[in-house]
Amino acid sequence: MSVSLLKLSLNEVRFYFTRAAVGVGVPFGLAEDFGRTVSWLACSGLDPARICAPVLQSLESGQSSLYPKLNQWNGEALLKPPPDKLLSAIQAGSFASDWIVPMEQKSGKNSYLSAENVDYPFLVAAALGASGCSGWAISWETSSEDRFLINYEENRSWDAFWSDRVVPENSGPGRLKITPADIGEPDRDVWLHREHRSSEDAAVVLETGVAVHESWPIIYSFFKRCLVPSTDGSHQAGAGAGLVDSD
Amino acid sequence: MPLTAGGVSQSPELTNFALRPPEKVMRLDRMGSSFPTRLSFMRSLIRRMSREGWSFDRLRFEVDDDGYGVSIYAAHTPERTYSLVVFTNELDPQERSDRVIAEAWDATFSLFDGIPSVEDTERLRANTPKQEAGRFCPSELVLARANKSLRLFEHVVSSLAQGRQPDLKLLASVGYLMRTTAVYGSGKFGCADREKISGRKETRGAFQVEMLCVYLIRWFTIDLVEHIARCQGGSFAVPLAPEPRRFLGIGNATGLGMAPFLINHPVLIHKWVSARETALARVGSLESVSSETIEKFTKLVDRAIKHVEEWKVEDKLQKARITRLREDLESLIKWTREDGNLHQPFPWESLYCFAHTNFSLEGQELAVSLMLEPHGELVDDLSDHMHSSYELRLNPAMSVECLKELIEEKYGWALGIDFEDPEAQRHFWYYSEEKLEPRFGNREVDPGEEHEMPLAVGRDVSLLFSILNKVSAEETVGEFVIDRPEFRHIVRRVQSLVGFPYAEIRDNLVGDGMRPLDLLRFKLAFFGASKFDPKSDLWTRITMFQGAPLPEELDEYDPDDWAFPVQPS
Repeated sequence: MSVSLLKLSLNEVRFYFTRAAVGVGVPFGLAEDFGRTVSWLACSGLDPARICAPVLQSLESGQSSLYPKLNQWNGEALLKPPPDKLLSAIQAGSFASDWIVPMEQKSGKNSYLSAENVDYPFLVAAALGASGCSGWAISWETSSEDRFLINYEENRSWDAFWSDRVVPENSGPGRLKITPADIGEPDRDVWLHREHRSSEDAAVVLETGVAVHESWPIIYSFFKRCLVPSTDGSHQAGAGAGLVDSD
Repeated sequence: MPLTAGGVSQSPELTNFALRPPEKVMRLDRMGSSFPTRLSFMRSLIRRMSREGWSFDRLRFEVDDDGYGVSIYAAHTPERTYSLVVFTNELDPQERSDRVIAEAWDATFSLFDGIPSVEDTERLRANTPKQEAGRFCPSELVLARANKSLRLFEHVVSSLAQGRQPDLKLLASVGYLMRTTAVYGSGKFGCADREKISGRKETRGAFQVEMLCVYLIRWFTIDLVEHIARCQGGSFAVPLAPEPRRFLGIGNATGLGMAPFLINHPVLIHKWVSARETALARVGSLESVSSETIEKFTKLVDRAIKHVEEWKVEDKLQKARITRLREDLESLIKWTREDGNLHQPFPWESLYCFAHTNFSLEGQELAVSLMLEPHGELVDDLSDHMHSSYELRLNPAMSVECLKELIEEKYGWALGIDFEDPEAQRHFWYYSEEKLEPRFGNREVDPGEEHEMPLAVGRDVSLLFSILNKVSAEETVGEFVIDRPEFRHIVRRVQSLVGFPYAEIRDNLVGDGMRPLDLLRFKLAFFGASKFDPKSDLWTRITMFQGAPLPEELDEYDPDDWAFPVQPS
């Protein structure tokens, strides 16, 4: 376990991560969704910097794209990234959260959403968790045939299952599918590992803060891109008050 | 039929006086004329302290003869304790600044959740004086700092040391011994998130821990001057007399940080305004008024006249507004005393109509505040509705056609602004690299517009509307924002605020004549601040808790009899 560099409040998590996303070119509305997702990760007891740094770096390097092609038919939807690109989980997560709401309202639980070549599928899972959905499942498979499944339950808790040694938050790109959750216990022969997390974790975080580790400087460097360097003029007058107060 | 505004309902029988429409209330010029009311956050905090019988302790006061050291002050509610931990030190006069970018202060403060242990206090000693450069834990609720008012602090110390009370005129001209230059809550620098305390009844309301922190700071500043005076004057020294003690508030210098907050919390702002407007409608709907209430009201107007006479500023525009306000108040007292005016049916509606027809905006808003004052039983419950944790959500199933109709219906004010005119986009809001200080830039002069904060709601709605005109009306919003994610934030805002009519400021926030000061005054009035003293269009000084009962007076003093405080005679 690496040493915690810093403990952040949830408010700081949203503030810094939202703007870090803006710093790599994510439009503000998507970045706000990303901030909410990151907050959910933090409430689940995970290091949000470690999970999000590669997501932002992938956008920064141009490997991932925010502009998928959407195909919809009969309540089913498919997101595809442009050729030779991965689909950013930031966009896929926002779309998935949007897509689920009318499905729930219409009780349209015969529908499903697929997304191809998503760069960090676990972040899409986190976006769904942050949206408060229940009775849905997200599953994905990577090119190395590692398989993952997350079921969302009532009261904002979730169960994660995985087939091999790679834990969901470390999984690489994959094709994902969001469907109504199956009733019944998942097959233990397929899913060798299981982890349950609940909303009680959020109460702990409010008492302890959110620990971020060695990836934090990456997030902060992206965040800093949103700041404007100070000039003599703005230093003197940009916020109104004088520099020395003798009153 | 009961009137409702975003969940706040009027009593069913009180429906005569319509809620003021948002297109009147949510304009910058009127917002910049706001006054505190009995629903303001300082007022509701003092009421709660009195009602629940809070007690207060000075747990530690280890300061030297010059007033430097560490102190801890505690507020005990029926269920828990909050402690103000204070560090005071010598400050080079050249370092004394009201700006966020200052790096040293006369006094620094942490509001601690509970009573701090020795270890907690030592940890805070290493961090609180550093302010933004320190790191804090969820056990800390608020971080703040303050500088002495050089004009008043030394005068009060030397007067008391010599056995006499300070000059009341000087005291009135400043109003406070120290001026806070930042009061941070809600998770700043590692402090507790609001969610940690939002379920507690005493901190559920907006900004209650921040107000508590400031109230305790005020108490500390009075203790501090008396201590230094005792050290200097020995047996000659006297304490402050009760009247000037109570008249001392705590100052504050407020800059641009408040502006982004208002734009980024539209539902919360709706709740604040909705509560005030509902209160006004309830009072305006009363059919008659008792002679006791008339007497109370008349006394209050007299007091407000004196209060405004003592409101001295250097800012030319504000000075002129105060002059006009004095005339308005003279008219008001005359109207109030005229036979029949307050004895006719619906007297408060008549009063409001008189003010609306004859007064300046400041006069109209002060009249609103005065009208609410004698009606605590009718309106105070509304202060329980002035908080929100509502999150804006996109509705992807809505059609583009429907979104366009929504914009035309709700954002006509924005569509009426020509944003092609460079003057309409003269300014931009940004965070400076220098301590993240929020600044208001001029596009022609200042670099960094590419890092503009997304606060130009009117402009963004206008641009969205023009783009929607080029999109198929049958397309859904979900499909639209996949192709145009740069509009996601403004689409979500438009969709989410339909049921919150007071959520949007109906003016251009980046245009050439925009005065951020109007936003600051609006928010500060809801806090309960008075004596607005603008120093430019970008920042203002204010006084808080002036006239409020001190901790030792809460048992005996009317917790609501401190609106529009006046200099003790």
